[in-house]
Amino acid sequence: MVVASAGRVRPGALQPGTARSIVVISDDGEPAVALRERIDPHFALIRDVRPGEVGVAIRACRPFPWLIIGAGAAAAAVLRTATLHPTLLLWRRPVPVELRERAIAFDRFIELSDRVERALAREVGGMRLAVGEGIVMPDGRCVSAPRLEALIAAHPGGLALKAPSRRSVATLLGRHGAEVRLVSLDPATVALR
Amino acid sequence: MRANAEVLILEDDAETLDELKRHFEAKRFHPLGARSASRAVSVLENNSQSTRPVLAVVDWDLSKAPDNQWSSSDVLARLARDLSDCLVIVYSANIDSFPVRSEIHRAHPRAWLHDKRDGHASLISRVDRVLDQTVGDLRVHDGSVVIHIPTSDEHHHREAVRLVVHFPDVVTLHSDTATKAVRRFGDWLAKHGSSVRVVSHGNRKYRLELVERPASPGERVPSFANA
Repeated sequence: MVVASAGRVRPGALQPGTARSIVVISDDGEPAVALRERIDPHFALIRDVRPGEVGVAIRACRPFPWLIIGAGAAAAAVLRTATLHPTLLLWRRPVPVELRERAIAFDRFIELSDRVERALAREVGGMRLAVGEGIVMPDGRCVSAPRLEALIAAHPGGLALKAPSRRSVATLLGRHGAEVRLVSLDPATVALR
Repeated sequence: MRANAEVLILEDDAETLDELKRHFEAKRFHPLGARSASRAVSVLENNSQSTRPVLAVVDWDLSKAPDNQWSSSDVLARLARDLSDCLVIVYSANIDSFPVRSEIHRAHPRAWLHDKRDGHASLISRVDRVLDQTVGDLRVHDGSVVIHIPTSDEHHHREAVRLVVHFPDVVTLHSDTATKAVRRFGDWLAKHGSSVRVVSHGNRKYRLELVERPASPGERVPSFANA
């Protein structure tokens, strides 16, 4: 018999990929399993992650997770991601102090799943999320723009975006005839209006 | 070129494995059977250049396997890493259990689940629905050909088959040859005025999309829309 020679590989939930990713952190996987029942699997990859795997899971999302769902204390990797990237955070109450400025709180699973479903199906200014990754723009073209995907997820709310990213998103909106523009909600935060 | 699509079958029960292999052979797929996870991993490893199954059918519980060095979870993780475009169906008698579902999807986040208690006929029927995929005016036949239904014209290439059976998902191609084949398929669709077109996501990623107004036969349409 031919014997497999190579070592074991990481679970798929921790493998790198560019698909639109929802990182669901839990001790038992139950929220991830339940969420998978509610959303269209063609539109987002659910990464069912244990607390000790958060850093690996977040690094696997290229370039960053579209959404992180969690409860209880936030791992350092979540805080770092929240600082560096426009990732939307949905956190079960009580939200830890360090995430209160960034996370959207929920109490019940139905609130969570409704919010995720709406974010995936949202159309903003003629733009909608494409299957798997990217955005279908008003001119029918499909573009890869993770920061714009994040802003669509957060709409009508906003997300922190650095100046170079703001410029590239604004250029993309203009080039493809989007019926919205980027507006500043405060010095750090922008939204689509 | 006609290249029959491969199907990986991991099933520890010899009789069931034979039954599934016969079914796929009858449908002109090339079945790659394995009774243990280590055998399945070695099939994938030892033929990694030539073997790219379009579908993997995996029994979650391998208690009858001749060896238990590896688990179905290992095979799923490997499929997720090395063959991300391979459709995966995992069947188990405990598929309703939250921990089982969680473990399967941790190993392979895109796996489709099937209840083993529904019997083999149900599994085969499910597999057939996946593989005999109809998208708009296209249909896959015999695992190796895409048929344009209104004209009965055939397009023989495994990448075209892959795009149809993965509809609406994005498929990542792995060579310039495959990319050229998909471009030819896009041209073929346009030439036939198909209700389906190829959409490029860049970086060798493609998917099929239904179009509201099919092109007239021969009309040149932009099959590849990309920023």
